[in-house]
Amino acid sequence: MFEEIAKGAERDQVTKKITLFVLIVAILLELFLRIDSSNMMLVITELRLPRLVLAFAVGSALALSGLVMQTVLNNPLAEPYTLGVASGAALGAAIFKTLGISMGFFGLNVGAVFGAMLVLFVLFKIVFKTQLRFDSVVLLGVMLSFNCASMLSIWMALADPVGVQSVTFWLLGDLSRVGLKTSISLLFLSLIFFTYFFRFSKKLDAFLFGESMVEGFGVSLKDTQKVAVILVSILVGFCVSAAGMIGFVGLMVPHFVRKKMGSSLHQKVLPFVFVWGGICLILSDAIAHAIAFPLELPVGAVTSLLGAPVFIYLYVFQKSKGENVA
Amino acid sequence: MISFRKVQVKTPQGKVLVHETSFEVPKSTIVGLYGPNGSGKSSLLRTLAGQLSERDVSGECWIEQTPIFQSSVSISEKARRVLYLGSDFQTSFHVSVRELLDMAKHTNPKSNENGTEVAEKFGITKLLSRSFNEMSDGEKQRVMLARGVIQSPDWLILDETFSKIDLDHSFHLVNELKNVVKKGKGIVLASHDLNLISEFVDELWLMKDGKVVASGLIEEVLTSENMEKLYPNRIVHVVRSPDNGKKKVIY
Repeated sequence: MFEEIAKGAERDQVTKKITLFVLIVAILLELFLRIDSSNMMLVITELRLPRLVLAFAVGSALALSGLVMQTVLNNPLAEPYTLGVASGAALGAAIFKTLGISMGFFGLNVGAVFGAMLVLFVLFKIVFKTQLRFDSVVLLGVMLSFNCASMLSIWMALADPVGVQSVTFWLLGDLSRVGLKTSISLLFLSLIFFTYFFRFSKKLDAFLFGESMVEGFGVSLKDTQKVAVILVSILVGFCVSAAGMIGFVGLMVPHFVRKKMGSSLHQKVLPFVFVWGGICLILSDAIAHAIAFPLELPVGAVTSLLGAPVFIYLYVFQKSKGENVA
Repeated sequence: MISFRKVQVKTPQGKVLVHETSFEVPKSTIVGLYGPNGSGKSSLLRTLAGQLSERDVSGECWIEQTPIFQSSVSISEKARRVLYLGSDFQTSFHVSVRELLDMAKHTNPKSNENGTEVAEKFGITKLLSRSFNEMSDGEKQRVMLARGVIQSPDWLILDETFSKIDLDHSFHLVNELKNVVKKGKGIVLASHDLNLISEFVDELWLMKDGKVVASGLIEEVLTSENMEKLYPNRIVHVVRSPDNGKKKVIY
């Protein structure tokens, strides 16, 4: 038994080193890949650095939100994108923006938080009212997502015919729209929420055996879900407001971290989910702006390109193993 | 002591699941519930465990000196008083058995049970590093029972929690549950395996159509006449085991 624990600790050390190494490589790639040497300093400080910080902030926040949603819904396919939370946020942000409501937080749009919260509220309401099995939630989420996305397109077409191109921004994500100040404040927010969830990781653990077992571990089902919904709405709302909808980071990262760590206990996986979320989006962004240089791809297209197959893999393989996924 | 006075359980639509019933269960007792499907066993057990909504339950339900539905008792305190375990356990995530048992210990830090010892007694030492979702149903039930013992609540409510455990392990766990009760805890369980539960329950309650049709010491309750009340169209013989004289059924 002790040997196994020692082996586990050794493996964790190796994972930490790998994580640090990949993080550094990702940062270097994001900063220096395909850079013009004539005005390098300017490009780095003005363009690439804010983008790097934003990519880490959004990536870590989305991965964190994905993990928390997966846990409280007991469903490995849940994440802000598949649950429709991101679309709700985009819709809310777009409406607030065109109406000129400037309630904000360091340049981030509060409308997005309302949008995200509304979608999660509707989702949980339906789930509780209909006693729907928690695993059908993703199907419901995808429908809500379609609905919000089409409302977004209609709204943009009617309210802002000139800015209708910005629908692409909301739907596919773009990390180049906000400055360093906003990026840093989002990073702080993400860190604060991480600290909160880490502190209450035992409460999240209680959800690992399904909703009927939560209270048997001495944890309040409804209270924890409420807190999770509110915090995730804030986090996803601000992410979408800053960078548009970026899908599947919240799906892929928690899955691979759990697999690599050989555990789902939140105290173990949360720190890695946080950092790897950041790494994942930094790398996706580096790919997005380097692969078709000087053209730039929307970063959401890159994450979806990688993420959708992971979703299919998870669905098909977990399903064939007889686990209760979707 | 669990005491129920004039307790009735209904669905939100008004259908009566358990008709008005009153009873008391002292600590250090094992009570077995037996009856046809849909006779209200699970509803009664879930009421005991405080799992139903207060709206659906009328009457007075007390555990020791506090009402089951009193909100001033924290949920973490409730988990140390009563633990309800069903028969079907699933997780979508990779959690090892050891991690689960640690979670149980964490839920009740005052528990005197030693995780390693309990694991040994339940024959799950070899399963400790296995992932919970990769095990067979019977193994999952054994692990969950071990978890219940480690968490060491005042009352264990087992709703067919050993329905898929093999003969040999069943008898091991019977001994373990007897030990739990010796330490002053109480167990209320439902099972369809009368011959197994007759080995260790003190009281037997027979349920049909939401009513407790007979209750008392198993010696008195387990009779052909009472079995006929449950299953009028079946002939059930009650005989004594040649080994220990306990009552068994043949059908």
